[in-house]
Amino acid sequence: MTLVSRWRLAGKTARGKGHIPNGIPCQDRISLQFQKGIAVMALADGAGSRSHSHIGAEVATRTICKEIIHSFDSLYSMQEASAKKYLLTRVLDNLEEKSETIDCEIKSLASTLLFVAANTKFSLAGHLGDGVIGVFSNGEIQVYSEPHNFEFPNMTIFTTSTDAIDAFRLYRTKNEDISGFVVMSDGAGHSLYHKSKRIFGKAVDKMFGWFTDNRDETTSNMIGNALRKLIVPRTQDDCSLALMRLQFFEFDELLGGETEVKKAFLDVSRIDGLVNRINVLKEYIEDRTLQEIDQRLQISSRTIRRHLNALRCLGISIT
Amino acid sequence: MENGGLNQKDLVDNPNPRLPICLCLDTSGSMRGKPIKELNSGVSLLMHAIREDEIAKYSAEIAVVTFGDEPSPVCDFEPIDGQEEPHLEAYGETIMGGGVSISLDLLNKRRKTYSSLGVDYYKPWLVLISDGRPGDNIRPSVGRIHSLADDGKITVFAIGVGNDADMEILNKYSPQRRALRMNGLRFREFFSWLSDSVNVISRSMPGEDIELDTESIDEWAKV
Repeated sequence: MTLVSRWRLAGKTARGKGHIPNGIPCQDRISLQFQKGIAVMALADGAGSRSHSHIGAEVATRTICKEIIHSFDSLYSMQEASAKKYLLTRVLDNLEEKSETIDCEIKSLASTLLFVAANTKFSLAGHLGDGVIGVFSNGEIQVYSEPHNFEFPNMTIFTTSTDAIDAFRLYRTKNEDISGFVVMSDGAGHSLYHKSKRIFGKAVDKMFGWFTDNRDETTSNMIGNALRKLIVPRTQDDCSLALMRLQFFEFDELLGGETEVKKAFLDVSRIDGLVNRINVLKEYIEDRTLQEIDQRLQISSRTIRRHLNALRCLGISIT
Repeated sequence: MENGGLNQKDLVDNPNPRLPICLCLDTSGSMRGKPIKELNSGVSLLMHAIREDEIAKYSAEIAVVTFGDEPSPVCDFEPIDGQEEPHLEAYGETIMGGGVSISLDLLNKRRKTYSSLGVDYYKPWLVLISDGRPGDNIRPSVGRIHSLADDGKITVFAIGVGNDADMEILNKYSPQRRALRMNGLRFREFFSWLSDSVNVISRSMPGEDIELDTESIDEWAKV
């Protein structure tokens, strides 16, 4: 029996209506990346009215994605204190550099920071400030990391706070029974996460299901649409959310499954593209070389190469 | 399917964060006549302004404590929509320490209620207005204020009315910012400024440096 799997990634940000009168841009940022077998999603909520916090949020999310992709294995296995220090230091170094480039105080680049990274076996997550991380496990979604608990709701902790390293939480786990994660800012959490009951609304589960018959890009657009139409009107704050889902198929089951499911998993939009991708995937599973595939399939070498590259970029794992 | 099959029923309802404000008001005999009339008018303006603001009305909650002879809570905290406006009358001494103590008790009780119900709340406000000198021992209540202020758990606005207001005493009650002397009887202007400040807090988000409007203070205070 051949199993194929891959991590799916989707997410969006939406500007809060409280920012519109003052002309403040959306201060939430997300970054979604898949490289070297590691899927990462990072989310940062720029601090209140600080002038450049949207830039700081961008720097924080990009830095985390880059550092984790580069050093996932060592970050997973090193001592927790060292891993926390390494990641936060890298973020602060880049914020410092940016503050010099754009000539501002580093404090004006402050943001919260949430992230989850995973390969097929292990996950690494981190949380600084408010917002919430959820985990999908055994068919249910549960809280994985709660918002940082301050007495007053207009207070939280940021990347540039003096006690950031103490407040920074890091989680490392095996992916047994885990099928995905969600990260959201507190603006989105106002409508998607019940703070006192510590449970998520049905909406998050439904969004997770969008991956089934929608490509990642389409799922991201659906998230954006839901944020703008349903969630932003219920708060003054920016709203952002990102999802990761680990999809598994028995290969023959995938081949016999619904077309939209196959298109979503293999990230193709057209039927002819799907046929070619499946055929190349069959050869990919057999670990054949480009030349061998070229001889076996009645499609151009260029098309074969394109599909092989796509399958590698998607990070489809075969067991 | 519109919105990917999502609708309002799939969302959760978190209660809005509350801003508890206790007005601790001097209703001693010296406030008789125009001062108490303007004070009533100002409190009414504040409550009306909060009711009319679509965000503040679900956030701000007001309690009123008066101190003349017998400090007492006139209005306890409740949602402002159904709250009756108090009618204040002036008589008696100025039992300020007692009034502040009752105010702090009300704020503390409300804070605990919020916590037990899982309702977030902003840093509570105490608004102290007096035209005279306290006729009781204020040390215990001053001590409580300082302790709360040192822990960052209260915001105090202390306002003196008229030439006989003891600003030194009011400054003891306001360790974070100096007490201000009202310009004449500009209660309406003061409470208008206060309602604008409520709106700022009700809309504040994490990380905001909250700056209340200091420029328009001179509309109601001698700066």
